[in-house]
Amino acid sequence: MTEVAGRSLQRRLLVTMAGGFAVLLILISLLLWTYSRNAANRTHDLLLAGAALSILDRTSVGPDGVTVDLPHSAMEILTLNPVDRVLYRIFLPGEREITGTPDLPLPSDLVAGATPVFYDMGYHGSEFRFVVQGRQLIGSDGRQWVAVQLGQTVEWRSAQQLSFFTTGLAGLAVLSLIGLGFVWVAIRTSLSPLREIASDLAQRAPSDLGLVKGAPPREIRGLFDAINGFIQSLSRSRALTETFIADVAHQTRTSLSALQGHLSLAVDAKDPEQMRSRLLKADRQAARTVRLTNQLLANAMVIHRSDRPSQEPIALKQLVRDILAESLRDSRMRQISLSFVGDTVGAGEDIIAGDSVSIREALRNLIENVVRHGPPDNTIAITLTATGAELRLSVEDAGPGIAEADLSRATERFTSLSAESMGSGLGLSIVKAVADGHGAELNMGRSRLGGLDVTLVFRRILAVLTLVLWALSSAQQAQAQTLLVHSATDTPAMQPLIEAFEARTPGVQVTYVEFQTIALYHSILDLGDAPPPDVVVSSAMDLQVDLVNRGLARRIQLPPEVAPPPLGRPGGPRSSASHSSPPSWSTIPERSRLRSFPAATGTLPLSCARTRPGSGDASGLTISPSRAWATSTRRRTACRARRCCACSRSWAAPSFGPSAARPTWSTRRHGVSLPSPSMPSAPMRPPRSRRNPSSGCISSTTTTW
Amino acid sequence: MLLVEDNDDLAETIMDRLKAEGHSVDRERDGNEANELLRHFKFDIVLLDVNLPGRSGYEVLRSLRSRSDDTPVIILTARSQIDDRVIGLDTGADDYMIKPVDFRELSARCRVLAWRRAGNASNIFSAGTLVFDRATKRATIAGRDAQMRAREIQLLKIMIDNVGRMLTKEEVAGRLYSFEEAPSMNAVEQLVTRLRRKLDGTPLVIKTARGPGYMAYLSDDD
Repeated sequence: MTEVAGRSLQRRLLVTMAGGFAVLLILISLLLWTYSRNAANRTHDLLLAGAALSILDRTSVGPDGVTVDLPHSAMEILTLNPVDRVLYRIFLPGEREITGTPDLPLPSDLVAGATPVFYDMGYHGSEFRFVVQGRQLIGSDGRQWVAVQLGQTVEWRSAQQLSFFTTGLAGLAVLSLIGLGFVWVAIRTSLSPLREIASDLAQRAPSDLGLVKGAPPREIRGLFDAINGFIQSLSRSRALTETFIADVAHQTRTSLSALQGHLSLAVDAKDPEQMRSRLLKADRQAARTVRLTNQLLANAMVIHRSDRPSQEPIALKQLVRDILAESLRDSRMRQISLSFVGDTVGAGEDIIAGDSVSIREALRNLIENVVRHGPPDNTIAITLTATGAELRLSVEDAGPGIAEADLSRATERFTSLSAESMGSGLGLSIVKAVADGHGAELNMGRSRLGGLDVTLVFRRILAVLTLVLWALSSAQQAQAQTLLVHSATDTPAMQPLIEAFEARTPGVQVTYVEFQTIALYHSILDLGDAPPPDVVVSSAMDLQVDLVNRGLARRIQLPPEVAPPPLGRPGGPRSSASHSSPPSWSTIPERSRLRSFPAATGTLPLSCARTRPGSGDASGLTISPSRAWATSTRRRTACRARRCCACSRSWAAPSFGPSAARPTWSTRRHGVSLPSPSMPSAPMRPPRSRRNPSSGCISSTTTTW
Repeated sequence: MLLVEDNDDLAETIMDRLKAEGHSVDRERDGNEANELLRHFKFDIVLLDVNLPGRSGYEVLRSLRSRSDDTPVIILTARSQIDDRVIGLDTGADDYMIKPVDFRELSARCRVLAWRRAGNASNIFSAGTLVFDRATKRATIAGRDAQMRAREIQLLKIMIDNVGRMLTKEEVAGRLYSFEEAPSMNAVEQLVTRLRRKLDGTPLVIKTARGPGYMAYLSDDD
């Protein structure tokens, strides 16, 4: 706020007030003009009327008719006004003139009466005020009217009217001016806090970012707070910039001097071989410098963008897909296996308020980190899941990860945890800055794949309708659930298992329907309107594999602590292998019925992940198996279970160590062979085909390769 | 090959690098001059800087495309903002690279564009030991018939046409199957797996990213 702006505000107020006063004055002067004219007329009309009366008083009826003896007093009265000329006329209306000026004008509609009639009229080029008054005389001829007309010029009364008017108006004008003066003073006084702020700010040194002090009146409290808020954010931003510049200066100088060092060593090299090796070092150092610069700029950009409101609703899923498609073009990504699972998040459910440029930067840095710090054939699993109002984007890898103790330091700027990979220590701090800028939570931990798991938890924008639907659907899930099992195994054999399961998971009922294998297969292929079963158990391996390959199965994910040991482990007794191969796998066409079984108490190791035909991506819903199941029911059902467990060998796939991204349902070319004593040395593991992706397995529902 | 770049040092290194790989490279400093040159001569690949004296790289590209000239163009830009890329690709760039460019990456991308162009232009596509003849729909590896089924040949053609491009599984399925055939995604996966196995040992590699889809590229190893 400058002084000029202040004056202009004052002027505006003053002009408005003056305009108001002027309009008021004009109105008042109109009234005043009329009033002063009336007042002047009244005074002079009295004189005229007096003179007329005294003339009429001296009219009499004589033998010659009506005569008049003009009285001296009437002339005296009229000479009280020394300025104006007077004309008179005495006449008998309708009969004859008696004396005076005979052609004085009369209004056309005048009827002479006892009351005086006043009117203005021109006569010989001058403005006159006339009075006409009559008197009834009784003479020999009976009653007779005699009228007196007196005319007087209006000079004096006009002068008097003007004098009344100007006096009145002058008084009012003075009053208005005084009023304006008060207004001006009031404006000055009320704007004084603004002037104080202005002079405070104007006198400041550029580096002085202290807050403006004072107690502003309520009307400008907003402005005052805004100025102080601005000063605060300016000061914060300057502090950030200063630290950042210091950091950048240090980092780039270090990096550049290392580069320079390598180069000057190369110049001094004794033989070409030595020079070559030193140049190679310089080349690597240059690459690091480039990356460092890029990251520094990215960091600055992310912080800068988090300061300003550049956030808008964006669909996270599509954004992630775009970024992945882009990063895959990097030739360093060619050995790396990348997956993105986001099928549980439907269209419209992945909307967050965010800045796509920053999120892109964050995700790119996470991927870049995996590429740099992990082995060349690393695995990156990106998952997008929605829970309630949260959207979790996690990036997991199978690299070395970060030790638990170092996790808290990892997001600090310029903290590189790994000496040999020579990171700049900026990647995760960029991610952290993006998370902070989005009000998102940044969680880091150990991934299922063995490496680092970085999860960003965004708050998503839920349409009210979606929220209601979600609440409704979760309310429905909270009600009693039915687990529908279609099976080719005899009901009596399964009964104990079912009872134990129901006992352990209150609220879940098992409906067990028995089929012949072929009928079961056909019923799954052609469900029609029938509710799809959650679990399908059959000993017809080929048919089951076919169902799986048609995309009708869901992936099973078991936490490592409850996962069965590898089948056919060399040296392991046969019984343990068979015991720990649970008779469970599932095909669930289209609709998932299993949503949220209580996992804490331990339930059947049935975990059904649905795969929608057409997507190929699986989402895992996990139910922990029960230890009790293994003891109480497995003996009775073990042998049958083994027989009916079409894909039991694939249990090995999702559960062990860092291999979760590998195919869950994988089969040999001609179906599945069961673990048997005759092949204990055939390890039940998923095809390890990273280098040679075409090793003999038919790809199936969730095959990664 | 035409390089349009106003920075002499950078232009020199890029030219040295590309020449060392056996390309012949012309260089232009100014946007207007490059535009004139492109009006009269055909190049196999154009490397185009964005910030140029005279007229910007985007304008050069736009006027190139408005003449329905489909010469592959790689945009080189120092701005890493996304909007720039979108503009570049919308204007009709085939690829973009952010400065400072990794030369290996640059020559790999050039190679991909050249392959794609060659693949589209002639009936015979050959990469290392792999030779694919569009006309006879026959693929040979090291001179021997690769024994591919019709679908595999079809998939191979799709992949060759889109070397260096990301294709979603749905896109692949859409191009492989007609509407009546109701493509199953699993069938696509199996097909890709089988084709990949048959292509083992050739430079053409099909990469799968579960979720995003497939991308074929030519391996740099040979």
